[in-house]
Order: sequence, then C-alpha cells, then structure tokens
Amino acid sequence: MILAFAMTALLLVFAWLFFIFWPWIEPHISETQTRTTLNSALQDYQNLIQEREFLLENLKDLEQDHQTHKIEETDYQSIRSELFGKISETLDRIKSLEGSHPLMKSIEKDLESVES
Amino acid sequence: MLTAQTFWPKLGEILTSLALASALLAILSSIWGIKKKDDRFITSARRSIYSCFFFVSAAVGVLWLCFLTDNFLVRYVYGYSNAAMPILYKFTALWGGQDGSLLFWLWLSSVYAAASIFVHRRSDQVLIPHAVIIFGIILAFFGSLIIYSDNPFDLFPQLPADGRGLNPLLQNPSMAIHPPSLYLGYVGMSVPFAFAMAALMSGHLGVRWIVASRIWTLIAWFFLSIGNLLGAQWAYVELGWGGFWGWDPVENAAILPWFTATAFLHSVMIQEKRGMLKFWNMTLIVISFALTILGTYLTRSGVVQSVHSFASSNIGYWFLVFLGLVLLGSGILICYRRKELKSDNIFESFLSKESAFVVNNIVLVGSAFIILWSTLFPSASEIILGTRIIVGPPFFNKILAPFAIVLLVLTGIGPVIGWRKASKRNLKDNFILPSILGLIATGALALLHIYEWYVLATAFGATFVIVTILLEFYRGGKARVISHKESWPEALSRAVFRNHRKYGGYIVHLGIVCIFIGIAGAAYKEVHEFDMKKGDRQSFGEYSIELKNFETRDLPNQREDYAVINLYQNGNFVREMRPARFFYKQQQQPSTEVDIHSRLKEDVYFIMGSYAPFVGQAKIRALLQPFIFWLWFGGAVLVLGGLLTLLPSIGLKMEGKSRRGGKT
Repeated sequence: MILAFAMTALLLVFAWLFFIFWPWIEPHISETQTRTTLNSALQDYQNLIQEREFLLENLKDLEQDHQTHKIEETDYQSIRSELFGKISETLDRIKSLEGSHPLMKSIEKDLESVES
Repeated sequence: MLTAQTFWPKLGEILTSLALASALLAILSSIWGIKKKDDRFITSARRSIYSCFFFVSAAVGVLWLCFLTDNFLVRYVYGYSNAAMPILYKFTALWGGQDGSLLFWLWLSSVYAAASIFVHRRSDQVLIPHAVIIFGIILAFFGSLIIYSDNPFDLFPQLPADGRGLNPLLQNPSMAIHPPSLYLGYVGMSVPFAFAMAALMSGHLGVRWIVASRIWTLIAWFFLSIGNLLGAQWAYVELGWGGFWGWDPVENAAILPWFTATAFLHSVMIQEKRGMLKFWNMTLIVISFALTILGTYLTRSGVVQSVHSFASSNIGYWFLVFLGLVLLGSGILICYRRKELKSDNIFESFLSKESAFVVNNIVLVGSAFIILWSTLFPSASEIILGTRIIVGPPFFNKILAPFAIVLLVLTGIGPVIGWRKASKRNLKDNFILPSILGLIATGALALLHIYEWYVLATAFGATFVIVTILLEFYRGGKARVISHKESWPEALSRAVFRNHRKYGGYIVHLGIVCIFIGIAGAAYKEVHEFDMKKGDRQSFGEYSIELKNFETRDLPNQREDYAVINLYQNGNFVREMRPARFFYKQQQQPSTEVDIHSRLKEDVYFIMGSYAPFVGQAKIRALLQPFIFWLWFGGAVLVLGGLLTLLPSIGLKMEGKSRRGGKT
C-alpha cells in the first residue's frame, strides 16, 4: 500500500512538473506565444479592434435611443459627433498600424478563426 | 501505517498541497514573466492555475469518495455523515461543515480562475498575467487555510462505528443547489476583482477590463441571486416559521455583495457610454470582493450569532488579515492610478440616465451599508458598551422600506430616461401613462381599505415599472416593424435577441417587481393556531380544516409523524395536507416539515407545532401568506432575464446566419 501511495504521489508530481515546464520543453510553443503576447504592436492592434467594436455598439444604442425619442435632438447630435470622432480616430490608428505592419490583419484573422 | 482507509485521505492531502504549490508557482512565475518579458514564464503561470484547478478537483473527488464509502476515519466525514444518510446528502455534506466548505470554496475559486484565464487568454493578453497573480494569491490563501488550519482530510487514530450525521436542517433537497449557488456568486466576485486589479497593475484601463469585469460580475450576480432566492425558499419550506427572510447575520452577509454588484452592473453602463464614474466603478468592484471576504469572516469567526454560522474558530482572524491586505493593496493601486480614473464627461442634468443610475447606486450602496452596520451593531455594542444590543427584523424592515420603494421606482425610470438630459418629449412619452396607471392602482387598493404606505407605494411603483417596461418592448418592436418592415413577432424577437443585454435587464426588472409584490404581501400574513385531535374541525377566513388522522413512518435515518388534514375552501374539499415532524435518530434532533397549498392569491401554510402521540393531539399552525407565490415567480423571471443577459450574442449569430441565408 505504501508503495502504491508513493508511486501515485510521484506520478502526480512528475506529471505536474512536466505540465508546468512544458514551455521550456516545447520551444515552438514559447516562440509562438512570445510572438503573440509580447509583440506590443499586435496587442495595440487587438485593443483598437476591441475599442472599435465597443464604440460601434455604443453608436447602435444611441441610434436606438434616438429612434425611441429618449434623447434630445441636440444631445443626440452632440453625442453622435463625439462618437464619430472617436470611431474615426480609432479607425485611423487601426489603418496606420495595418500600414506599418502588413501582416497584422492576417494575424488578426488567424486569431479570430482560431477563437471561433 | 497506510491502509485502504487512510490511502485516499492521505492522497487528498497530497493533492491539496500540490494545489497550494501550483498557486504559489503561478504568482512567482507570472511576476517573473512580466518583469523579464519572458513568455515561457507567463505561459507556465497560466498552466499553474490550470493544474491548481485539476488538483483541487481531484481533492474534492477524493473527499466525496470518502463520504460515499463511509470512511469515518476521516474526521470531517464522521462529523457530517452517517451510514444511513441518503446518498444525495452524502454529496451535499461536502459543504455542510467548515473544513469541507473551505475546500469547496477553493475548488470553485480554481474553477473560476481557470475558466476566466482560458476564456480571456487571447483577447486579454496584457491583463491575464496580472490577473494570474491575483488568482494565485486568492488560491494560495484558501489553500493555506485548508492545509494549515482546517484540513478536511484529518484522521482519527481509530475507526468510529458510525458518523454523527448531517444537521437535519441541511437534509433538504434545496441544500443541493442553494449553497453551491451562493458560493458560485460569492467566489465569482474574485474574477472581476482580479481583472480590475490587473488593469490597475498593468495601467491598461481601457475597454477590456470593463468588458471582462462586467461579464463575470453578471455571472456572479446571477448565482448570488439564485442562491439568495433558494435560501429564502429553504427558510420558508424548511425552518417552519412561515417567513422567508429573517435578517439573520449570515443572510445579510450573503445579500451584501448582491447590492454592490447590482450597483456596479448599473454604474458600469455610465462608464461604457459616457466615460464617467471610472473611480467609483473600480471602488465598487473592490467593495464587492471585500464584502465576500468580510461575509466569510462573519460566518466563520463567531463574531455574529446565527443559526447558519459555523462553529467559531481562529480561522476568522485569517480572513480579517486577508481582508485588510485586499483593502490596502487595492486602495494603493486605485490611488496610484487616480489620474487615469478621472471621468471624461460631467453630469449635465438631474433629469438624465446618468443621474438616475447614480441615485440607484446611492440607494443600493446605502442599503448595503445600513445592513452591514446593523449586522455588526450587536457585536460593536458589546465591545463598546459591554451590552449586546440586538437589531431585529422590524428595524431592518422599517429602515429599508423607503430605500426599497425608491429603488423600485428607479427600476422604471432608469431604462427609459434619456442620456445626458432627458427631453420634454422623453419625459412625456415615457412617464405620463405609467404614472397615471400607477396612481389608479394605488387608488384601487385604497378603495379596498388597504392603507399601509409601503403597500400603496409598492402598488404604484410596481404598476409604473411594469407599464414602462411593456412600453419599451412595444417601442423596440415598433421601431423594427417600421424600419425593417418585419411582422410584430419577428420584430419583437429580433429586437430582444439583438439587444439581449438590454431586454434581459428589463426582464430582470420585471422579476424584481414580482418579488416586491411578494414581499409587500407579507404585511397581511395571518397566523392561526389550533390544538387538534382526530376528527376535530376548525375554521379561519374562507378555509376550514379537519384532522383526519395521524400517520407514522419509521425509516433508518428518521422517524416521521404526519398529521393528515383535509383542507376545505368555502365548504368545498380542496386537498389533503400532511404537515409533519421528523425525528433524526443519529443526531437525536427533531425537525418540522411544513405542507403548503400554493395559489396565486395566497399560500395556505401548515405547520405541525408539537405532537403528543399517546394523547393523539397536535398543535397545528395555519398561516395565510398573501401573494407569496409572486416572490418565487419573480425569482424565476429574474433568473430567466439574467440568463438572457448572459447569453453571448446568440441573437447576433442567429441574425448573421439568417442574413447570410438571404433574409434581412
């Protein structure tokens, strides 16, 4: 019984260490991960894409509030132009990143396809 | 000496130790990975959290195995199980006592940590390494508690013949769902906290932490709501006093984070839409998490006296120290980032959605503060004055009623009032009809000689909210009928699914209204008590009862004595009622089992107060509980609305598919 216990415990510890230190054992993973997590440009790009989605969602809600007469016309125009300003600024930054890093868009698409 | 019976508990100890080691490794590896920008360490830290989840899951499995195999050599199994106990309760016994519930907490914590890290591993690569540190700290804290203070795998030197068994009050089917739901809600608050702290640590205070925190707060809030509702249901059905909420300190501890999480779910919308209340939202997340730790401290330290609390132990001090560290650490981080947490806009009018939500937050957080203070007051008075001054349910009901009414009315105002500054047309279109119908409902109740102010106010508020929400559904559908030329059913379903978060919220509001109606009905509760023998007949209101006979069942775990009663309404037979008293043999403890005839208008609730078998007489208590059905119905509606809100853009996917299919 003691032997069985010791073997089980050792097996658990070995499997655990193997799992934890896998990034050092499999170099391909660490390279891929380094590329995806530490490339600050790609991170910025992802944040901007999320920012764009967020702003578009806000614009959709604003339009709905306007359709159902919840918001004063002047306020609607002002918030709308404020949102448009932010969206256009975000789109400009996305385009500029795509311009300076042509692979960005394809990487982003790859990531999206992996996630979906 | 290692035997077949000591093998599994010893393995359980190894598993919890490995879980603690994984949590500590996650912290160190993540810190080193962030510092050196070495992704191998960051990946390893993530894997450490996954392995922590695996080890804790295995440890939970081992403890369950000990319960199922009646391994009474394990102290915890001995304390909370016995051989004759039904299998369901052998599973629920895991969280029946302090040590097991801590393991259960650790398990859920590891589930949340692993799940959130897995879900956000690509979308939040900047936040995840920092969040891993926070998760690691939380997991390491609970792991240390289990290993160094309350080990559920502790062994007796010799095998006892049988266990002491689970508290009879906990031997109820709802105990299989109520505590896990509550724990899922409580523990779930650690995820938004981890993401908020990650945002503060990394300086990435943009959109992402808000999105992640909102989703996970919603999940925690959803489970907290279910947990509290099931707790109320358990109190109503199992405790045999006819009430559903007694403002017990442990109940209060469970509801506190619900208030602050609800406040956050509203105020976060202001941040999303207008870039305001950033500092406040961060604070609310910290308060919500801190309240879960404080609640655990109150339950486990013996500071408050409650039927729910665990035996007092030194473990409370651990929680107090951890709470102090949480508040200190998060406070420092918030102060450090205070400039980045400044609002982008200012409040422009009191008549705006922003203001309505701020008032909503003040009411919710104010209510939470009152409940917290009143819960702590007996202990505080004992320390300061030397006398324990008890704060009872009437105090809570009286002081919180105005807050509740304001909240109810805001439930109707918030969704329909405009952003920035409500237009005159907005006010006219949205509030005139609901207000008129609300006044008519109030007047109708007054004509029925109902004059309690909070019942009348609830009638006004409930009607007001229901009408505003129905109008919202109508307008949402109408907008699509006009703009997309869709049929009404199609327009309505598309409006709801495309804006599932918004309309899910409205359904939650409808649930809240129903809950308010159920609570208001409690003001008209009637209690009737009769000493009855076989063949006796008694009347109350439009009901009469006849005690047919007594029945006894002798089961291995308990003896069951039933009073068999025929219930009549206006002289017509309705159904047979069987209130009972159980006597649990192992624990030598009686328990009351009520029987309820539930209707939309009222519940007829029977309790067998006492029973003298030799005389053949029982004390039968009959309670009339108006509108209580609506409390449970409201709970179900709230859960439905919560689910709709949580569904991840199913509507959009459906929409996308149908568009690709040629439909618009």
